[in-house]
Amino acid sequence: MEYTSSQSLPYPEPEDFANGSQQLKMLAEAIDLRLSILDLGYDAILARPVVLKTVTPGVQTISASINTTVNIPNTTFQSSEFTAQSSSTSIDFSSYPAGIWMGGVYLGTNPVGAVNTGNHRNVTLRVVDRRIQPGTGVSVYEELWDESGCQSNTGGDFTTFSQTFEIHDPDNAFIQMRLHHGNVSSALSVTAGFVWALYIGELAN
Amino acid sequence: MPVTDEFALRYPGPYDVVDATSWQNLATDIDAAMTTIDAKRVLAIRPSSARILNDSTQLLTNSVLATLAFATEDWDNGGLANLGINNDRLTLTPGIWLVAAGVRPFGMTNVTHVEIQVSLNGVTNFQHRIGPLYSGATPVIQTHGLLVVTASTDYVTALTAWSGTGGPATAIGGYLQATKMRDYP
Repeated sequence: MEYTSSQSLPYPEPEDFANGSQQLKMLAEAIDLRLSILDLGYDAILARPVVLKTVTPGVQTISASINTTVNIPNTTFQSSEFTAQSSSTSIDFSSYPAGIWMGGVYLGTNPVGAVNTGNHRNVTLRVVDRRIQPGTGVSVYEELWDESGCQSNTGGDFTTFSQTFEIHDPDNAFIQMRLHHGNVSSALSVTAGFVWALYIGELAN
Repeated sequence: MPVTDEFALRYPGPYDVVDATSWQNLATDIDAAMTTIDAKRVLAIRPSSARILNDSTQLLTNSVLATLAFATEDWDNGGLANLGINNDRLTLTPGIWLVAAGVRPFGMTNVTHVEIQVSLNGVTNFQHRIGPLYSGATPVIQTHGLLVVTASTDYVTALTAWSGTGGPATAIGGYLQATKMRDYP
């Protein structure tokens, strides 16, 4: 039996026909293996890993001028084949693949609008991937941020933000939503919100 | 007759006669497996996706939240838009979707704020972005994020508002788009 083609599919030489059933079995199994690899590849795209965690409205209040992590204790949706999320403040990547991910935040707070000049609401998508930089031994932290909100008396009570980022070390990687605001007259109450992460694909290297 | 592990491709047993039927069975089974895989390939590389455009001259009154109306399908893979019946929405199927929307109101004198919302079934906002103070009069605002859709009747709409002086504003460059990223659950 020789092997040919880039996919290593076997075919019989003339003298092999005395044992035809064996060759046909080998051919069927080789084709089955190649088809399985194709099938798994498309399954990976159609069931890409995803996590979405939400706040509990009304439970958390956030004081002014303190960069505060917003609690996201409720897992609304998660790819079933991965370990359940246990943190109340983060999306944890420990059972997920390294790669390129897309993530985002949505946050609503009360009271609506600003009550003092210079008010702001900055919502941060904090990405922490504690990979070690080669040669330095230094942990790398990556933070993506969005400034949203108001410096007037109108609006600013909601924000939405999303970004793509890399996860190199899933065992030590997580993302969070953080809020910093300048509403010094009263703490802000979280009224709605969620954080999500969606797997896009493999890293280049 | 024995079969392979994954796709149940038939092949002859050790004492079976190898004849034309043996080859026909294998060819037929390969064909069926390839049909199954090809259906997945189409879903994977050409997911349900649509983008509709607000390229009309919709007026936006000061401090009034308006639902954007759309007149043109930029693309529609999956029949998500039916602008002749509902010109304000994309109807989605169960799954995890990336949804985006944007608009550029113009024609105001000064702008205090501009915002955009994306709503599920006309009720629940799952994206809401409020721009900071704009000194100009032609702000652009857009947003995109993830949405979990559980029912085949679920739909998304985009709403916008501005406040300031002058106007009414005219919406240009408005869009609403959605792309299915995976099945639910």
